[in-house]
Amino acid sequence: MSKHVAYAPFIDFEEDAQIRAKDQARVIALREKKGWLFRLLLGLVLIGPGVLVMIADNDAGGVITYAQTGAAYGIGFFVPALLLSGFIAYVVQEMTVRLGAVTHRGHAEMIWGRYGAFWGWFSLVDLVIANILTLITEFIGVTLGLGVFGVPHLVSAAAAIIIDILVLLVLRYYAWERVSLWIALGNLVFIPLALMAHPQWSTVVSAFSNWHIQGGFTPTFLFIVLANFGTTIAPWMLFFQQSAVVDKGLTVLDIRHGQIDTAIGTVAMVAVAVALVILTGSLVYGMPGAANLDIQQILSVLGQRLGPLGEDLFALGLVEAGMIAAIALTASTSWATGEAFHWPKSINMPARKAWRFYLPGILSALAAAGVVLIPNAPLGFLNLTVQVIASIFMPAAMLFLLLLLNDKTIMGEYTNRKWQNIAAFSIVGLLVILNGVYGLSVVMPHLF
Amino acid sequence: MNRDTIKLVARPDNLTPVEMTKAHLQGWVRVVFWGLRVYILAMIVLVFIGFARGHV
Repeated sequence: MSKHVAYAPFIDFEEDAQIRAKDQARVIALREKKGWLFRLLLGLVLIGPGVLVMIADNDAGGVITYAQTGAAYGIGFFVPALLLSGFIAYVVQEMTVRLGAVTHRGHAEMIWGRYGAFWGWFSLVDLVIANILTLITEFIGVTLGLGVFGVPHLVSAAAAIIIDILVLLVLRYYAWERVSLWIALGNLVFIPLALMAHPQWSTVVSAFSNWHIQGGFTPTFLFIVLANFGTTIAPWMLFFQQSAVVDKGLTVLDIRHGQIDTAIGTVAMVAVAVALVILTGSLVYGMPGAANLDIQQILSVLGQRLGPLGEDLFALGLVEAGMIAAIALTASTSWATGEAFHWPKSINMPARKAWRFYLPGILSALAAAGVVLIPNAPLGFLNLTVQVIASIFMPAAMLFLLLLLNDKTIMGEYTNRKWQNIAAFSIVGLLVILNGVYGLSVVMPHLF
Repeated sequence: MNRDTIKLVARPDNLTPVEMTKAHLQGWVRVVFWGLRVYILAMIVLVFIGFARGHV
């Protein structure tokens, strides 16, 4: 009898599905019980893909981007802008929950299957290249952060890669998810740091009313806007969350919890991003050359203003941001390649049976870690290249998502509602406009 | 029976992956896909120009 689950009248479950069935049994058992405690436990069991994708979005590159944004522009335009980007991220990511829960297929698999090999290869190659480049910035973030504590780069890069690989290889999906969630908690350290900066809350509140842009609308401002949007909404997030939803075994019964999971993640992500802007906006902005400080200089300033504790906490946050994103990106690469080439595609699979699933993710992480150890690796250039690839790739990724979510033959009653289509098409429009304006500023800079 | 597999009668709304066939692109969707190709090409050209001119 065929082992391909989509085409068999009876379902042949392999090892990963057996483990997933146990995870599902846990959910079913909790769902059948009454009472607020079991509702809470059900929520905690179902939480995962949404929180992870949003927290991992506050990666090392994101932390650096937000810190530099606050240093350059203070507490102004970007505080309300980040709230808007959070709403945008929720609208986009919620769609992947429904798509994964209804179809039980990952994003790469769906693009390949519905739109053919050209768009399948386009998406996969873009994703893998962007993931590797992003992984480089994550490991650089880890080495920079641990460098504050005197840990040599070689040691910190080695430790990061070992943890990244072990977490993926040794743990099955549910344990991998729980461990990752605990690591993700560390992202919240930036919130007490922002409070330690004693920001002027009146300035924060007034930022929402005047949306003031320091220095006016310049090409540099535009690049910063693109960088912020690029770091908030990244293509890997679509692939990651949908694959995680599938590997977790969420069904249409779990869509509501998936939406809540994504909302919680969004709130946490925005809170941390705003905290970072407020932190450097309060302590670094206004200093001579603040707009051009790199992250090590910003760390140094934080150390002077907040003391060693402040610098250490920021460094730890940077390490955590790099680590959680590395874990997410490595999994994302493995899932996408597994789905694209019909290899095993589950973290539940043991390594010896599913080596083809684990290998792309591990190789991408090893390649990234190797680049990090090259002296004077151009972090800024790499960060920018990631943003550029994302800005090219994101409208395409969004378009595929929208087409799939409006396809009744796939989604049935779970297609997008009108407001979701309006919001999502507006987001695509915004991304195309931002990128178009960027393009104009490149070709005709005298216009700006 | 292969020792590594178990057979279950699964509910149709459970974990069965949706059956997939290639979408037949027509009408406005076809136009959008061509627009996407043009957009990607234009962006790649602009990015190269941007790097060459040192705007980034």
